[in-house]
Amino acid sequence: MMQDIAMYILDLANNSLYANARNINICLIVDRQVDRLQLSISDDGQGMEDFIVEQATDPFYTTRKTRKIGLGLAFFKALADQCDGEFTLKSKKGVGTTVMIDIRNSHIDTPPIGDLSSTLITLIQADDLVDYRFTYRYDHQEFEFDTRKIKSMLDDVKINELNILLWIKEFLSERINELQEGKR
Amino acid sequence: MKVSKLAEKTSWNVYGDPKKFDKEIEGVYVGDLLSWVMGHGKVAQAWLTIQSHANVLAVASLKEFSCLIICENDGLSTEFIQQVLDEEVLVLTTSLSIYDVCKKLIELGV
Repeated sequence: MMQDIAMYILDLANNSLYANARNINICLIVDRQVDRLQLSISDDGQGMEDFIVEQATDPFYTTRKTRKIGLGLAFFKALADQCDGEFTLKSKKGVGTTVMIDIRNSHIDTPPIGDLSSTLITLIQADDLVDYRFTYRYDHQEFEFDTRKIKSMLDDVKINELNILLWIKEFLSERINELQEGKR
Repeated sequence: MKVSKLAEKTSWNVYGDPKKFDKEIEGVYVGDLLSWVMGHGKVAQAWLTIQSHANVLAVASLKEFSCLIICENDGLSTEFIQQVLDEEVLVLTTSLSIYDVCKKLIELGV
């Protein structure tokens, strides 16, 4: 479906941006002991009516119109079906949307994690008015990144200025690598 | 070559509206990773994959492929066949491997 988990994050967070979300929470949990990989993306965007939620994973629902929202949700659900997993989509008009999968980490079709730091940077640089919280738990270690915390440290500088982004990128890569290398 | 001609020259199963089978095949694309096919496939190509589910039809329809050739296939679900008709995608199926389908297409000059 997509090459890696990071691509799904990018695609689904784009849906949140399209829904005018101001706060997007991305949570990735890899637990090798129980052999699960969970990914959830929740936002405070405009949300969807119940009947749209039902159609949202139908690949033809989005192809008919202008296709501002792509096939990401349909692919995300297919990934869950393919990898002994479950897919959940919850949405409330005016409140927000949460989409989640819980799949078997060791399944042969489970894609690699991919480049998380580049994905996050791509999202952060797009709009400095949107805040992200990224939580990554790998086995028993956890790393949390919150753009609000970064912003509180920045005075008159925007979070999406180049030098800040470069710093965040390096910081994220370092922490994510540490986590994945299992320095417990 | 037109899709109708390909269907005639092979014994592959054919699904879709017969009136639409005069589409011209302009090249071939092979791949199962849907996001990759979305990014790299081109209009009017014949697309070879082993997958047969709704997302495949959505990609074929979005990319305006001339036809979809489902390889290593031993039968489609009735639900899938209905979707093929609803979405106006032209589908051919065969039990041949993707490699053998490629060889056949080259032999036919596609």
